[in-house]
Amino acid sequence: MTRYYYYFFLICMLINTIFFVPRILLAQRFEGAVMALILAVLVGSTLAIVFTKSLSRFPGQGLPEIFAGFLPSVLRIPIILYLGIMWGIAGSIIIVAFSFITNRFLSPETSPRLLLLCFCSICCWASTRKASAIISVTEIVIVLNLPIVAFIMYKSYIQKHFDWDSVKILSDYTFKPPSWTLLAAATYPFTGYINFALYNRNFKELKVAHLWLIPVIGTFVLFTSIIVPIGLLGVSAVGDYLYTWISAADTLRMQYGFIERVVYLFLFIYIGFSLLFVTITWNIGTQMILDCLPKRFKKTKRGRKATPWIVAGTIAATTYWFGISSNDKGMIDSVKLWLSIRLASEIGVVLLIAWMAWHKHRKRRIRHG
Amino acid sequence: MSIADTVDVLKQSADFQRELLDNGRFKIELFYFATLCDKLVIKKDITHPYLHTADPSDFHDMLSAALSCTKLNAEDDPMSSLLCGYVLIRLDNIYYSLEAATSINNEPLEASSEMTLQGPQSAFSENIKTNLMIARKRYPYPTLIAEQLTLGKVSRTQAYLLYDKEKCDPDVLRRAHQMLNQVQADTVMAVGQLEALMTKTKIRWFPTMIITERPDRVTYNLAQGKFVILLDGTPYSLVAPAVFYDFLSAMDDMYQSFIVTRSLIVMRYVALLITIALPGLYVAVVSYNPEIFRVQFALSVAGSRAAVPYPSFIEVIIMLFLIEALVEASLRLPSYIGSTATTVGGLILGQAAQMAGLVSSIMIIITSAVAISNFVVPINSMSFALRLAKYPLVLLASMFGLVGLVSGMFALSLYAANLENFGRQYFRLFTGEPAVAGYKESDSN
Repeated sequence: MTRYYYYFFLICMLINTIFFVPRILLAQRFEGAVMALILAVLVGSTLAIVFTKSLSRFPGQGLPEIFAGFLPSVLRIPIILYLGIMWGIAGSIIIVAFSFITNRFLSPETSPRLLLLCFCSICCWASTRKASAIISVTEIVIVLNLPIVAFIMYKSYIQKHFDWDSVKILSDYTFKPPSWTLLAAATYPFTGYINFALYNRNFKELKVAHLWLIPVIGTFVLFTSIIVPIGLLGVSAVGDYLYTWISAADTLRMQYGFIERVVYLFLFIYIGFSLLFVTITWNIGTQMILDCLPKRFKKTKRGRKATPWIVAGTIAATTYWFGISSNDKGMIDSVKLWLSIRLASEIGVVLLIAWMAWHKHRKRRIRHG
Repeated sequence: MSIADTVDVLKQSADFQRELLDNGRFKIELFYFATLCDKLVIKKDITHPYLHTADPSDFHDMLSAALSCTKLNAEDDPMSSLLCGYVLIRLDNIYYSLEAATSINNEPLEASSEMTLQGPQSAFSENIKTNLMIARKRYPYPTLIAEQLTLGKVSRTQAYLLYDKEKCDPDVLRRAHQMLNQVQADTVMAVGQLEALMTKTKIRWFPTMIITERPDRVTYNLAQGKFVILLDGTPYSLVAPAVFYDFLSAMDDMYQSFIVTRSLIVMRYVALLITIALPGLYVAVVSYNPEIFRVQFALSVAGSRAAVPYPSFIEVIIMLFLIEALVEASLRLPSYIGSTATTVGGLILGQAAQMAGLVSSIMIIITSAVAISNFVVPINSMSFALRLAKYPLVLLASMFGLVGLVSGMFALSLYAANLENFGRQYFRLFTGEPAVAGYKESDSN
């Protein structure tokens, strides 16, 4: 059980480089980014721990079932629908961003629309699979790719040309108040626990050991994702790059490796991570939206449900339309907006769950005298 | 049908015998298929005592006391038992039926499709009684239950469902019974067919039950709490519910030292990766991203492809088709010609194809690596399933390059993980199977 929790935690930690988190933070590196990082470790860990502890009072239940016990359906359905759409958008952002990245770095000759179509259709198919299958694949992808991630991190820290001076320069700008957007971007990596809002259904009990690992891993990954680009690209130049981490990884070279440029290794594993992340988020989004639909839409046709396909297909089609009509600049603005809304709604969800857990706990205590 | 009607129907066959015997004191009549019955049994159990019996009532007593002999009522239909090698005896218009089936191929065969180097060498036989005996001998434990089944409307093939009552999950057994009751077919000849008949979905790719000819594997899986189906007329048995890991484990894995075994398993998974991904990787690297590898390597690939006029995916498809045809041909050919086919196909054709500029020499290496790696998979049905897995990847790689390849592998693993086997997960990293031979770790989940 514990290990699955950390897989979902890690996938969000690792996906932040695609989610423009380093980019947003580094763009305002002199205007409070460092403070945002420090605050994010506190806020993110607190949210994660409160959520996990509260959810452990509802064994085997997902958010829709828990809400059903406390809220009237007038309130419940809009909230769940909203959350489902938020999850869907998270996946869409990653898929569009990653199709841009692939088109730019891996296969510039392929038509971007075709690539996006390939991603969208694979993820649409993948997100209609069983949750248990997605959890197993999460384990496989994370366990197989984590050594490569560790290798890339190691490789970048021991670079001869790693400029620690640039990093020290940044420490002069520590005590600046960060904006809400910066804080939202910096807390994003901690948000992996939120997937248990639905995947809690697949586990008998949400008992997570070593919760202290969350701030520790979080601090390490968050600071790495800022420090490494600065050290490799320089503190002033780092702001000029759009896909900061990929450009940073492209400065690394494996002299004796079968693959010479580290960036290919990086892209290779991040295709897997991105597809996995999109599959998870779209699966949760689809399930959430399905929970809000009236019962008569959940008819089965020869043992197969058509509605998950329709919902996932709608999300995929919207993503495709969004992908072909947006550009890099518009993309970053919408990511910023999404991140800000996300932090607010995440705090809301965590508070709601905590209140419900407290309520349930008190009720039980009253009943037992 | 009454007894007389049955005899009327059957006597049209040349091998149906109807004999009237007379020992001077009273008469009996025998009906049997000469081809199905063992003459020795008939002599020992019927005609010999008959010769020494003084009057009919003594012979009635003798038949009632005989092993596996039943008295038939007037409305009983002896058709099915006659067709299974029973002898029908008429004495004073009372019918008895006595088992005298002859058995063919009841010697254990030599293991031919799943070899081990230092493990047990014999496989199951083609006779179900012998197979059950082998299984019982290797698993002499009181909780081993054998349930008899008859499968197929026409063939009426005998089968046994074997399981350890203490270890087998009752839910799995319930599902197994349900699936076996659903079997609708005229003839059931082999366990692979039985697997197809048992599973509901028609479009299947990966096998979810192991087909094995090795008694030691059967024993091992019984101890793990799986069930086994033995089928008459085939030396193969069906083991379920299986996980993906089982298909890549050879029985040797339990007969070697720990480190050797683990290295071999790792090697098998690497081979699996090669056989699935290498053709796709070749297409992706050659046609989309030659810069991934070092410059020298990219140049040498380009140099070897200099004479080839086609895009890489056509080259891959030509070569893969040839090798698949070769594998299929050497499987069907008698072993005398088989080696000729491999020589002609592998050596001469490969060499000539490269010289003629049809394919590059690196492609020849890749084709052989793919074919050899495919043979590493110990269970045949899985090896066949994996042979197919490379084609969707080649297609995706030729359309989208490296991205397509990785996406395809992601989709493949998700497909495998989505498969369900008797309500259990089929494809996981940590299977959580019990460690009965002391080698598998168990999961604390």
